[in-house]
Amino acid sequence: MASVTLENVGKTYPNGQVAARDMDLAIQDGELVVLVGPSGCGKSTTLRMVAGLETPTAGRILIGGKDVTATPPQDRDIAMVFQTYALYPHKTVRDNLAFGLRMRRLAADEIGRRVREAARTLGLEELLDRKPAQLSGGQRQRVALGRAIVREPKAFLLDEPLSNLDAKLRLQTRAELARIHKQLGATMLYVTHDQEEAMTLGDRVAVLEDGRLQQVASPAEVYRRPANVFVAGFIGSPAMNLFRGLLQTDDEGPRFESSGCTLTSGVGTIPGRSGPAILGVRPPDIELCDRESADLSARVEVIELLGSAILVHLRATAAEEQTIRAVGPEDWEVAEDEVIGVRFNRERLHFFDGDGGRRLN
Amino acid sequence: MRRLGRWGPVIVVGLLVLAIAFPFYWAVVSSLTPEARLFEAPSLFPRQLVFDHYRALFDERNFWIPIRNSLIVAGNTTAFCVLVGSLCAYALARLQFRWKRPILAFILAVTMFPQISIVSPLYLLLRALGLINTYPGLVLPYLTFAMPLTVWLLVSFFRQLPAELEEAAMADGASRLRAFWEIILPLSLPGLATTAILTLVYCWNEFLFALSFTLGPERQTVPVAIALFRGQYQVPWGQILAAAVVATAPVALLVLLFQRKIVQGLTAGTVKG
Repeated sequence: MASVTLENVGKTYPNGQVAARDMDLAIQDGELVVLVGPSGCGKSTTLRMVAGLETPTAGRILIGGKDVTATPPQDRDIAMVFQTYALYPHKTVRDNLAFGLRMRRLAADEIGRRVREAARTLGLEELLDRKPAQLSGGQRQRVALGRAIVREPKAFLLDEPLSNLDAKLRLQTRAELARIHKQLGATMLYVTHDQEEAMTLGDRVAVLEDGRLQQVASPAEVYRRPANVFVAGFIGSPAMNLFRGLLQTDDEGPRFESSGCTLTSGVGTIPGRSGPAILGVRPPDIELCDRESADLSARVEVIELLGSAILVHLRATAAEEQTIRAVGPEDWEVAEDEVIGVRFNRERLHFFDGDGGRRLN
Repeated sequence: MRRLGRWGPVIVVGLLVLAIAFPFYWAVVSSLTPEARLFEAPSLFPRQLVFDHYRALFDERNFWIPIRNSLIVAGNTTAFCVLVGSLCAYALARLQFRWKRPILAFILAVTMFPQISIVSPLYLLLRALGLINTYPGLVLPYLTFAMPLTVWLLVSFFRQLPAELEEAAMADGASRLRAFWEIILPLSLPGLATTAILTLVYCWNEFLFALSFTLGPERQTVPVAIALFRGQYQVPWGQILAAAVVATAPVALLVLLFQRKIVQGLTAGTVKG
């Protein structure tokens, strides 16, 4: 295993489209970093540049400290798992697993040993003589994974490996991936558009938008202290509530005002500065309260049962265009069409610059 | 109305098959009819089958020689086309390089010349190269029309194979050529079979070049040989038809055998595999 480092990597396509800008990312030996972002943000391109399938137009890529920017994929000693699995349809599972080892000219008995070992790890022993077409989606996925681990490569590159699985299988495989990562101590770069996957799997999460890294940090950090409005809105489900407004500071202390709500009390939790700002509140950080002490009064529009909790869609009474999502316990006393008062947890407010979206507190 | 709806297509297809198959059937029947009875009132069902014409074909006319020539010329053209054409098509389908579209268009443009218009320049060229009345003297001109066909068919075939397959192979440590050989080629067998058969049939039936660039029976191909059967005073219809049957049968057999592959190849990409 080895570290993977991106230094000022940029990619501009001949048609002028920019897939990556000035990207700096250092993945430690044995670390699992998840690249997450909406579709078209350049995350797959970044992965493909590490694999050698695309050439960066700026910067350097290092694997194990060695500059591989100009090295073709076959000489990089990485393993890639594709969203479509890309199993070789005309080869049996055994030959699919053995292909990479054959290309590296390993002895036949060593190949046999490693294939058996990988098959055992992934529970593929029974399937070794089948062709990919005779496998279920989950089995194909495991073969694709097996083809990567059998190689014992310097790094694993996984491109949305779970997105073609159904929900139940996805959870199972996700846990399996986490186990394999621990067991092998493998360096992994994992691409997904699913923020939940990113949060549960990653040692660190790298949030990407528009070819630019927005934040690289542990899942907890990304969730608790998003670096900007984009990360705040992208990470977390249901998504964070955002209120556009104005920060003001006078003798009575800092104050946040928007058409939907006004926050006065809370010295120390509201940044002491003036100017346009965006307030972010996560749905579970909203509490019910009486109308007098409320930050906001709102009408309940829809209540969705999530199982152990409920998701309540609200509309601010003072500003019709402001919708709010709140998550509360199942026994929350709300009813549709009722007007209620809510309060934001002062410890968990997020403030962002109204212009650039940068975090303020 | 409903009955017509069910039987309509059957009738149409039946008539079509009849129209296409009848000449061949007639050729088979006539080739087995004694020369003397050929011009009597024709009968749909032969009353007497004789193999005189076939015997004459192989004993007197040495029809083996044109068959051998045709096999060599068509076979070599096909082999060359598939080998070189597949590499060329792969490059055009997958690699990034300048002038890709113009090259593809140019390859197609080459086939647009009417054959007759390039016979004389080709003749001069081949004479200068000393290739008149040789096998290469036929294979090379055949490549001018067979190669574009191969390249175009295979380009579209390769394009519909997912690029991830080679990418996976390359990530697995295979060079591009190795990935092509181990992954792409085996998966392209239907496409390769289609192109090979189409090329083979085209070369097998080609007449104008074969007539122009060969001088004597020792290098003449089957269609030329058959055309030259007719003497100054008589046309040996029986033998001509026997030769036609001999020339058509292997091709028809080949196509029937590979029918499914051919359809697969021609419709590749229309549905997900």
